[in-house]
Amino acid sequence: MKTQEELRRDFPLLQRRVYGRQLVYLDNAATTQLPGRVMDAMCGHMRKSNANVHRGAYCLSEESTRLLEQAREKVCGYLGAHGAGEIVFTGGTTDSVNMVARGLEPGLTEGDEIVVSSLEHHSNFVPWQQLAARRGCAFRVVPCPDGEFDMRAFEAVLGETTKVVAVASVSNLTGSVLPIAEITRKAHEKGAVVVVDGAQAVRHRPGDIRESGCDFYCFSAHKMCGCSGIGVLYGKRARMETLSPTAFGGGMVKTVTPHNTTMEELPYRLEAGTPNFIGASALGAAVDYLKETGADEIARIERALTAQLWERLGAVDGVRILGSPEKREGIVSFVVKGVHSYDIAALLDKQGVAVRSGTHCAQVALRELGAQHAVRASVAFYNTEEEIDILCRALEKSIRMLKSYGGGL
Amino acid sequence: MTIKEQETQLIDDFADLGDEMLQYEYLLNLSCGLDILAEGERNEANQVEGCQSGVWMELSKENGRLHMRAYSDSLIVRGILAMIGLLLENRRPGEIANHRFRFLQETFLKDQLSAERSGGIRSVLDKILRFCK
Repeated sequence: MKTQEELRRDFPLLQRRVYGRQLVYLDNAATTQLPGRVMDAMCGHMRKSNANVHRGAYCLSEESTRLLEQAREKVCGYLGAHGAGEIVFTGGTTDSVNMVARGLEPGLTEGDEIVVSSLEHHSNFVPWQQLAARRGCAFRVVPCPDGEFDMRAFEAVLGETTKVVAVASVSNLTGSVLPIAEITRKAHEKGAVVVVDGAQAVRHRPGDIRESGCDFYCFSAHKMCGCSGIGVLYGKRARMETLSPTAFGGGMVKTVTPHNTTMEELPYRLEAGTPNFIGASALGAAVDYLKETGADEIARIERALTAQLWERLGAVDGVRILGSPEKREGIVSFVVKGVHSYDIAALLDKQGVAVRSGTHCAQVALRELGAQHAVRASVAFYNTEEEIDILCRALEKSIRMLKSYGGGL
Repeated sequence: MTIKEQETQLIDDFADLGDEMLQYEYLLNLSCGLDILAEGERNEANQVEGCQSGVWMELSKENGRLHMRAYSDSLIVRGILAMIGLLLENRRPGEIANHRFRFLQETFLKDQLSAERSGGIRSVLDKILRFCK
């Protein structure tokens, strides 16, 4: 097992200095850093095997195709899916959710119900809201008071007309872990399809799909040490078969005539156009890296760091942490009385600490938690306790400075 | 002193500080000099569109010279508004309308403000220029 120092050396960017200080990167909920070997995999593919996939009868194309399909198999194994037909490469979580929403649309009619939680990222909220509006469906939002999914409220809205339940595994705002296994079980009793946003969970909860039995699972590679521009839509085979393609063109058709077109088998009929084969190579290498590091070890480190983050931030004078969920992973968002989140994040940046400020694409959740904006710190397994201490010292200094000039709000 | 000369002095003051934290501190210090728009006047009519942190600004003319009162939820943005106020307060609209602002590109703000926030500050400047024309 690697030491933390050895682990960090795997990530070239973590050695960076900003404004003359060591970078403390705590915005992993936005994107994670790439291990050198993931970058090597991308460069290797580009240097030696760059060719379009599934189309050429020559060496480079076959190599490129092999790398893409190997990555698909790796993702399949990582998630515990049953076959490559259940793994579709997309542009990311948002693309995946929209693909499901559009794909399920023909089967929805007026009076059907779509249920989401108030903690959802906009990418797992707005597509369903808009779909409901287009089809005349009811759109129900389950409250999550203080960042905890209200199971009783969910049971109250769940009914025979509920067709889709869309929830995050882990909230990108509060880090709350939603009980997706129980949600799925209850939703399935009513015959509803369950779509899980796994963006914040996939890095340290690869067992989500097996344990929950959800129908669809969406995530982005760049939140699990892969690169941006590629993600995955997992779907149970039977459910995937019911998804109508939402993009048409090359790669997803079998035969095309002026009068008729037949579609390819899964997963290809949901992958129109040239896939991001370089990104897929990166994702495959990221899966290898995470497996070698160990899912349990990653989860252990991230849970310990999250607990420390929560405890240390909560001790800073003036800080109000958003949400008090029973289980929290990876993320802590907070507000400071009398100080704007942007001001805090800007001053932290000058001290080498990278966090995010704003609404975090979670305006509904923020409002429910009584805030208009927040600062979010999010850890990954390559962060350290020392970095959390640096964050908190820099935060205290920033708050003192801002309050000495009147605070702001 | 012309607006251009005063702006050059402001740009030089920031540059002389060097360290980014000191520059921010200077900006926060400037924020204390902003003529604050009272809470009751932070309404839709005074709100500047396109600003992420909430900016309200009221412009008026007195004896042919500009007066500005403003507010933002963010202290850093208040500092920027204060800089603008410093450059423009009591100046003739004609002089302001002919000025091309440089401080966004020539101070540390160039690398600090996101595209959206820079756009918000430009909305503030555009509103002032429209008022002065």
